[in-house]
Parts: sequence; C-alpha cells; structure tokens
Amino acid sequence: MLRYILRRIAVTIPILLGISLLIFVSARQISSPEGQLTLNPRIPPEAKAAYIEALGLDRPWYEQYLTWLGNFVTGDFGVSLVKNGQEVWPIVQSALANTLLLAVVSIAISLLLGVILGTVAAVRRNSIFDIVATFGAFVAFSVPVFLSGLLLQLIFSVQLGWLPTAGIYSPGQQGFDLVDRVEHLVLPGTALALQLIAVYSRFMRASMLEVLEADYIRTARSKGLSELRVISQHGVRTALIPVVTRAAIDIGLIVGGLIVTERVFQYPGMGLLFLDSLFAGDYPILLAVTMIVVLSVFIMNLVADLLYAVLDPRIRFA
Amino acid sequence: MIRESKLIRLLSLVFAFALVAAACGSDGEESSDAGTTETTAASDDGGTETTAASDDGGEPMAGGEIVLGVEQWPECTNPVTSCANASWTQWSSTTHVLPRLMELDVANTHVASPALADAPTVDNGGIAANDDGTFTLTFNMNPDAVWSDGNPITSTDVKFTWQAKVNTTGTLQTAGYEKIVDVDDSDPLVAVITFSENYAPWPDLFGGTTDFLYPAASLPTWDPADPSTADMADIWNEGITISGGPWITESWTTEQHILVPNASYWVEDRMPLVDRVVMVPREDSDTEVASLQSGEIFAAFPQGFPGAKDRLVSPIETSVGLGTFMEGLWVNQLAPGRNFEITQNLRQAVAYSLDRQAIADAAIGTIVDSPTVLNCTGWNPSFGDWCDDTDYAKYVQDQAKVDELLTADGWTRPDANGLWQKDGQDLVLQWNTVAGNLRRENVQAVVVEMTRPFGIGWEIINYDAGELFSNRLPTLDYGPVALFANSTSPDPSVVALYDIDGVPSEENGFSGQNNGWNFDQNISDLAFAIDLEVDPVARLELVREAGDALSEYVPWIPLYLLPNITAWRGDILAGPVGDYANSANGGFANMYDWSLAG
Amino acid sequence: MSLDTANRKVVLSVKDLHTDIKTENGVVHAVDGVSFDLHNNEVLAIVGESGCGKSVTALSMLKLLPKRVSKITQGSVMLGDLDLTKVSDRGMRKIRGKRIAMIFQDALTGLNPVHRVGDQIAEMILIHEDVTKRQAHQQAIRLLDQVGIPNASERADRYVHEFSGGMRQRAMIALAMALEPEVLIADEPTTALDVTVQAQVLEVLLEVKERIGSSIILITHDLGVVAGMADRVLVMYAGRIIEEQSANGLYHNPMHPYAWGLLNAMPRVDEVLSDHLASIPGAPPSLIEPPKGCRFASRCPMAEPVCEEVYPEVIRVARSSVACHFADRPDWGRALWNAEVMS
Ligand SMILES: Nc1ncnc2c1ncn2[C@@H]1O[C@H](COP(=O)(O)OP(=O)(O)OP(=O)(O)O)[C@@H](O)[C@H]1O
Ligand SMILES: [Mg+2]
Repeated sequence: MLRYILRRIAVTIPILLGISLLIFVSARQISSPEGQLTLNPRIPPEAKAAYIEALGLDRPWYEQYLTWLGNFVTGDFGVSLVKNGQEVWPIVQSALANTLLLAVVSIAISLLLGVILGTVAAVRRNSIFDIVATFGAFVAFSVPVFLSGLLLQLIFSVQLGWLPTAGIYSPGQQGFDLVDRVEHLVLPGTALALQLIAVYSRFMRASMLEVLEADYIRTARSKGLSELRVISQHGVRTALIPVVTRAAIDIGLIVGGLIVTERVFQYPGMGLLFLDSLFAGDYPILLAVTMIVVLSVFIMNLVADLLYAVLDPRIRFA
Repeated sequence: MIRESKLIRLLSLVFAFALVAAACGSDGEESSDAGTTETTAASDDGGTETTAASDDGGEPMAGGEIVLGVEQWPECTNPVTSCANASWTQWSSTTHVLPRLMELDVANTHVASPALADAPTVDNGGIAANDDGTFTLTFNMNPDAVWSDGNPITSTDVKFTWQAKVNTTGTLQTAGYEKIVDVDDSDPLVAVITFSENYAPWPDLFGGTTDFLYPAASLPTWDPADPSTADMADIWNEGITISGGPWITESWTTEQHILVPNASYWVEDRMPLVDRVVMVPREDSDTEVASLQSGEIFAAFPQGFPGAKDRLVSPIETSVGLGTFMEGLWVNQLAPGRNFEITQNLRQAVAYSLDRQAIADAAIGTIVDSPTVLNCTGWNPSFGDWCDDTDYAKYVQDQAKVDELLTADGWTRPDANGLWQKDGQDLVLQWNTVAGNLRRENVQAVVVEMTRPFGIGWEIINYDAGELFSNRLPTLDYGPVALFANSTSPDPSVVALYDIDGVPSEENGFSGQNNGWNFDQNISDLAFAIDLEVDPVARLELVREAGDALSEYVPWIPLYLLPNITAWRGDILAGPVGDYANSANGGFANMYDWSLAG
Repeated sequence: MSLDTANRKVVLSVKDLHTDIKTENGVVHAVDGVSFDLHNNEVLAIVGESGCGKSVTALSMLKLLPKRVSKITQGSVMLGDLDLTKVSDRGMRKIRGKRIAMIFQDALTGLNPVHRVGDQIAEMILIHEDVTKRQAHQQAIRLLDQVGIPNASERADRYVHEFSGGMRQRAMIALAMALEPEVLIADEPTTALDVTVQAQVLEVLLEVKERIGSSIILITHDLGVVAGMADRVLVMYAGRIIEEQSANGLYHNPMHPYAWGLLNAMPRVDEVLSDHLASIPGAPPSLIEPPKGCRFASRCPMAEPVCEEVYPEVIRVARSSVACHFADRPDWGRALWNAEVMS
C-alpha cells in the first residue's frame, strides 16, 4: 500500500513539472503585467522599461521559469508581480481555504441528495419520479452556473431578500461570524450543488441499476430481507462505491474549477484568484494556483483509489 | 438541434419570467413609496444625463453607513507604483483620502483644490517662463490644510511627492516630474517648482486627473538631500493609512474597504454626512445589478454594459455620463498583415465608407438612449474645450469620395459590386479586436455589411485581451485596423501618442506609445508644441490646428465614447449621487455629500 | 434410488402454475401450467433445455421475480395449508430463507462481494430468529464448518472473492440450510464448478438434506446428477411438464420422445445435456405465442398431423405421467430416434 502511494507520487512529479512549464509559457504568452500599461500616455518608455526590468520580465523566459521553479521546489511561492511584492502563499492559502469550504460542503450535500435521488429513481425505474428526476437532472446539468447563479440571486436575494447575493461576509462585517459566513455560502453552494446533484443522481442511478440486476440482490431477497434492507445494505452499499470515489475526484477538480461560480458570487476562492491573476499576468500567483490545483487533483485521485480499496474488498494494491 | 434550441427557448422564457417577476416585485415596493416623480434632466455642465427621482421623498438622515459596489478591486492601493495604473485604485481609494494641488471640478476642468490658497496663473505670477529657458510654477498653500495626523500640508510635502514620484521602485507615471529640477520649500506655505523647460500639462502634476500629494511624514527615513530615500514602494499597499481628504481608510482588504470621515478635514462643505462607507467588490455586472436590486449595495459605477438601459430601472436610478474612454478604429500603418500601403487616401476612403451613427447605435444603443458619434481625434468632449467636435463630422458615407480617393491611389474596381483591386490584391483589411467582447464583435458584424457596397472588405482576426494588448499592440503586430478603447486626460497632452520618434521598434525595445498610427512630422511637432505652450489661449489654437491636421491625416477613426453610469438606489440614498457620473475621479467622487434617505 | 413416494407427506404442491413475463417483444408465457408435488425428504429434479422455464418456476414459488415485469396469472403454490401465490410481500419475507431456501448457480455473483461471508449468513439468522449478533455469528461459523469449510471461524470473516469455487457453493449451501427450511431449491448448483468439485458439493447437499430433513428441488442439465441423487424427475419443455417419472423409471423407460433424446445423451456423462439437444434439428417454439398443439411437434421424429393440432392429454401411467399422443407406443419410437439422429 505504502509502496503504491510512493509510486503514484513518483509518477506525479514529472507531470507536475510538465504542467508548470506549460502554464508558465501560456501565462507569459496570454498576458503580462506590462500589458496594462500599453495605452497609458503618462508612462514614459524609460519608466516602463525599468518596471519590466524590476519584475525580471526582460530576462529570457527559461531563466524566469527556472528561477520560479528553484523557489517553488524549496517551498517558496515567491511574490506577486502586481500586488506590489506581496507574498504569494498567504494569498493563495486564504483562497484555497474558501474554495475548499465551498467544495466540501456542496459535495457532501450533493452526495447525500444525489444518492437518495439516484437510488429511488433506480428502484422505481421508469416511474413518474424517475422521469421527473431524469428531466430535472438534465436541466440542472445543462443550465450554466452564470445563469442558475443569476436566477438564484434574483429569487433569493432580490425577490425574497433572504440571502445575500455575493461575497463571504456582509459589508462592514469584520472578523469571523458563523451565521453570516453560512448565509453567504448558501447560494454559491446551491448553484454548485444543483449541477453536482444532477451528476451524482445520474451516476448513482446507473450504478444502482447495475447492482439491482446482480445475483446477490436476489440472494438477499431469498433470505427474507425487507426490500428496504436489500436496497440499503446490499444495493446502495455496493452502488455507492463508484459514486463516492467520483466525489473524491471532484473535490480535487473543484479546487480549481469554480471560476464561474466564484465570479458570479464574488466568492474569493481559487477560481477568482486564478481569473484575476490571469488577466493581470501575475504568473507567480497563477502558477501557485495551478500547481495546487494539479496537486489536489492528484491527491484526490489517489484518495479516490484508496477509498475504492477501503470500500471494495475486491480491490487490493499490488 | 431542435431539442436543444427548444430547451434554450424554454430557459430564456423561465429566465425572462424571473426577470419580470423580479422587476414587478420591486415595482410593488416602489409604488407604496408614493410621491416620487421621475424627471429626465440633462445637466448643463459635466455632460451627465440624469434620470432621477426628485428629492422630496423625505429628509436625509445624518449618519449611517453606505455600501458601494466596486467593479474592479485594486490589486493594491499604493498611489505611486503599478497599483495606481488602475482607474479603480483612484476611484475607490486615493481620490477620497489624498489631497491634490490642482483638482478637477465636476466638469473635468482644472481648478485649485482646497489644499491651495489660489491657482497659479500667468497674471498672478504663478506661471513663469524664464529667460534661461526654465519654467517656474509657484503654488500658495492653504494655511488651513492639514493631514489627519495634525501636521499641516506644506511645500515640503510637494518636494517629497516629486522625489517619491521619480524614485519609488516600480514608479510608472513619471511624465512631467522628470522635467522638474527643483522644488523650493523654504517657505512652508509656498511651493516653488522649477522645470527644465516649459511644461504645459502641469495641472496634472501633484493632482489633476490621476496624481496626488503625499505627506513627507509617511516616510520617516526620507532625507531631502538624498532623493533615493523617497521610495514609497513598501508602504500603503494595503490601504492608505493617512488622509488629507474628506475620508480616511479604516481598513482595506481584498474583500472590503471601509472609509470613515476624516475628523481633521478642513473643508466645511465637503465633510462627509454619513459615518461610514463600505466598498465591496462586484466584478460581474449581473451580480452588481442583483446586489443593487437586493439593496446590499446602494450605488455602483459600472462600465456601460449591454442591456444597462433596461436593467437599471426603478428603484435603481441612473446618471449617464458621456464617458472618458474613446473607442475607435486604430490604424497601424506598419501592420505586418498589410498587403498594400495604408495610405492617407485609403484611410480617408475607409472613413467615408462608414455610417458611424449606425455603428454607435449598434455598440452602445442598449446602454444609452441616444448614442452620439465622436467627432474629434485625440480629445474628449468630456474634458474642457479642447475637443472641436466637428473635426470628423465630414466623414459620412460618400460613394463618390471613396471612388475618387481610391482611384487617385491607383485602385480599380473592375466589378462594380466587388472589391477594389490594386496589383492583383483585393482591398481587404485585417481587423483585430478583443475576442468575446460582444459590443466590439457586433461593431465588426455591422461594419462588414456596411462597407460591402463600397468595395472594402475585412479579414477579422480577434485575440483575447492579453494577447492583443500585451503582445501585439506594443510590437505593432496587429491590424492594419484594430478596434479598442483609449482613455485621454483632461489635459490635451498627446505627445506620447503622436511622437514620430515614439514608434515602438526592435531598436528602442518596443517602448513608446505611437503604435504605428502617426508618421506625420507636422502632427508630431504640433504635439510637442502643445506641451510647451503655457498660455491657455495660444495652446487652444494649437490644439485646434492639430485637430484639423489629424482629421485629414486619419491616424484613427473615432467612433463613440463608452458611457459611464452611476447607478444607485433612489430609495436608500439621498443627495447629489449622480452628479459625478462623467468625472475622471469616478462616480463616487462626491460621496461626502451623500446621505441615507429618511 | 427409487423411493416410494406414495406414502410420503406432500410438503409443497404446485397446481397449474402460470407465470407471464413482459418483454419488449411481447408477453412470454414462461411457465404455462405446471403442476407437481414435492414430498417430504425427497429430491425432485427438474430437467429441460435452456429457456424452458425451470428457473422461472422456482423463482415463482418464492415470488422472487421482478414485480414490474412478471406476474403469476393462475394456479397455486401450496406450502402446507398456505397458498404462496396469495401471501403478501411481508408474509413472503417470513417464508424465504426460513421455510424455503434457494441456492443459485454461481456463488461468486450470488453472494455479496462487499460483505463478509459469515456476516451474510448471520444477517439472515438475525432477521428470522431472536438471537444476538454474537450468537448469529457463532451459528454462521458452525454452519460453514458443517458444510466442510476448513478453518471456518477464520473464513467467516473473509469475502467471497477469497473463496474457491467449491467453497463458495458450500457457503451458499450453509446459507440455505441455516434456518433448516422445509424446502431447498437448488438451481443448477454445480454448473459453474469444476467437474471434480461438483460431486463433493452435491454430496454436501445430500448430507445437509439428511441432517435437517428437508426436501430438495434440484434444477439441473446433468442427467448424471439426476441418476445419482434424484428420487423423481420432471422433464420440462417450453413452459410445461411433459413427463414425470421416478429417476429410475426415466432412465430405463422414458416415455416422451423428448425424454428419449435426453437418454440418448446419457452415455457421455461429462457432457451437458443442452449440447446434445442443440443437435436436434429445430429450436423450441416461442413462448410468446406457443403453438396450440404439442410443443415438441416441430422437432419430433414421430410427429403426425394430430400433434400439430391438439395438445396431448396428460396420461398417467402408474406413478408417472406423460403428455404425448403416442405414449402407448413403446420402444419403436426410440429406435426411430436413433436412426434419425445417426443418418
Ligand atoms: N427477467 C426476465 N425477463 C424477461 N424474460 C425472462 C426473464 N426471466 C426469464 N425469462 C424468459 O423466460 C423463459 C424461461 O426462462 P428460465 O430462466 O426459466 O429458463 P431456464 O429453464 O432456467 O433456462 P436455463 O437452463 O438457461 O437456466 C425464457 O424464455 C426466458 O427468456
Ligand atoms: Mg435457469
């Protein structure tokens, strides 16, 4: 098991390096801090040149990359190019914490609801419930977050006035306040959960349908178990395995994949940070964000594999 | 396909329903608030057009808290370094807390700020072109002016600001300051600034559109004898801690900016009415509108977005300013993608093939009610009188002119419905803009149809913003035609844009801002002359002369201004909220006069 | 191994059972009027070609067919005084495992892969009996031990994929015998096993039967198995029973032409019946719209026009029965069969 984990990590490192190079090259290609200065007539060429030199943007790209890499492997994320020398790590850390909170809460809720919906839909295949759930999932999945987010805002913030539209705290709030924090989590969490529930319920339904066909379900029934017990103990328990591992992988992906949700809800997480630093050409932040996202994807994939092994006794690592 | 489009229609229906429902609900609340009448009034100065409820809705309350939405949250708040290059750094922070020498009034005209006793003029000896070729400005400081720490605002602060502007690591906006040879601060109430030569755009130094005064006391290690000690790079990056303006920053984070009244402020009629202002980021315009509708933010200063006209409705009130960003077709005469020379005849012919009113309608018709065409080159009608808004008025669609200009240039049009041709090349111009920008892509679509009958074709290649502005524009690797917006300042200094020696090239490391659009020596000379002419009347004449020359030369084709909007909750805020919609200092500039509606 | 069944008590009596299954192509009359009695301590074999309705018959008795697509349309299944076709779901739960248990073909898929084997046995005991978890677990170990699983206390905590084929089926038998049911239904219990292991597993099954005194319905393709352990045999064809005999009787004196075919295959014990029958020209009729006459007619070497027209009456001869128009004509038919197949 340990050897398996070590082997996975060993495989990860070159991939990580490759991705960092790719991100670096494309980030430098797409945008750069000096781009913002192009049209400002009050910036003399010399000042611009000095600025570019101070940021090291005039050096060959591989030198810039190697410098960054050297710092990165020693655990130094460097300083932001556009935030006037602020350390990258604290910035990324707070964004990561925000996104993780959002991801874990919505995934947990989505998993619970998705599993219940998927199970019921599978058990009552082709019933009205199943048809409605299938349609609902299709709609929820195909409505993009910028639209569902806006609808949620219009309904729950503008119309009903129950929940705030954006941010993580009410304006003026200073310091931690649980209720306020949770209130600001509801809408982005729901926007995200709508899609996740759609995915998980479909996934659970398919998995459950397969399991319900299995001989051991018939065996369980032949033992005189109640239908509820057959489905929960023998059906869900087994059907859950691929869904749970999928959710673990999702946590890894979502750490970097919430760009739209975070923008719509002005939620200061990794997606927003990624977007802002991409526009600003702030490659130290961009790279740090990307590396963490890639790492989290790898870690959560590994966790998913381990989880698989824990949940399914048939899987063992060689 | 059919199923999909049905679904989209269904969703749009649901969406529209939600919008209507939202609007109705708000109306319901509004109608109970009887007595509000809507008036549409164009204010005579400042060019703002206000749709506002009259003020008889109730007595304003003193005190309370105002929440404002900020569309682009500054990366940092340092007023000297690159952080200061973003408009919103100024609009959300510096304008409210730092003093200036000259300032812009509501009509974007330079006037003396409260930190000055009076404005320097030639007559009062404040502006002097000396015989040795140097140039001297004398500012009389207002003896009442103080920083929030109690220290007076003096000529020493002016000296410090000059040194900080030039010596701060990462400083960018040094234009003008490098021409200063000395600031005499022997009298704390008189700042005597000596320049190496005439410098006409001086009102934009230490104040004006983007600059401010910094307190010498903010850097205890500053030694006036050693200018290199005036390095402000490491301070004020997360909030400016001192104030010489109506407000003082209580806290600044990446999530909110809290401002409270500066108790030491000496200007009676600019003392804030409310106890606190909280600014929060709202980077997505849909979210910004929703937050306004829900009442979480009371006002915002959004860039004109498509549909603004229809979505910013009661109880949201709006004030629309002409705008400070000019959008047009910039012509790169050195474009690598050109198949023929981009001659003056050709540039004029393109201008004669465009119906610019139709373009303005397509671009900003959903933002404002009656879009106006921009007719001056280089100068913005929102600022001062520099702009003669008739320079380009002659360019209306004219087939005969197009024929004449192109024929004279050696073009032929064998097929009367086809494209012009020369040396086997079709008259097709590559045209770049920002990919995914709906407004600009709309303009492209309209223009392609529009110029077809005139035999002018387009090859449209769009890039994302970073690629276009960071990589292609500075290296002249674009065009011949590009569509984007450019800002101007209230001062007509345009040397950087039209300096014939300022064309970026391999040799000068691609610095300079004349990105391929001016190769006319006369215009370049005029630009320099404008910067050196300190007599306002003579200067205006030069500007007008340059305007005429530019409209013949056609370095670019102005189309329209991007409107600014101040949007606020009329039922929550009271006071002259929309007055500064067209201000270079942003729509929140006068928030000291705002209060909560009773 | 013929037993005198006349004097034995009837444990389970199936009368005129009809089970329909809805499919995309139409309603399959999978069981179309099956009747038989199961006597105390008897081994009753059901043989027949693949798809003839053996499993559906068994599952109908326990009402384990998916409700959405299947329905018992007629007939009764009497367990003592109880008509199982009329028992509620809740009532059936008390029957299943407790009074009628079932053993399925493949224990690898028949036992839940994510639960420990011992737990799966204990689970059933806990449901039906008033015992503690611990007691149920002990009981499960004892049962595993009884079916010959070495080191049962340790094996009980393993998962089914860690068991060999023979052990899996032994565990399945342990599960089925746990509550000492009156009836054990074994649906092809050895098909998935190695030939060498098959005999051992059947041995265990018989042992268990003797110990708990239950009756067995043994569904199989293997006539060797029938000869070895069954008391009586039902021959099914296309949803109906076409011949019922003592095992001995079937072996020595098959009455239905189809049964001759089966016997024809007998010398080669190691081969599976269906392989031989596959070589009979033609295929069994569709069960969606079965022919009105004898269902074997289209493949029968001695068929005459009447066979196509009229379904033969069931003729009872001594304790056997057969449904053939020519049941009274002895051995010549068998000869004909051989000639036909040989040529
Ligand atoms: N769940 C089901 N859905 C649809 N049809 C079914 C189902 N179960 C059985 N059938 C049909 O019922 C008929 C009888 O099937 P059954 O499984 O009883 O055959 P069998 O005699 O057990 O065959 P085998 O020897 O292959 O196990 C077949 O035609 C089969 O296709
Ligand atoms: Mg079967």
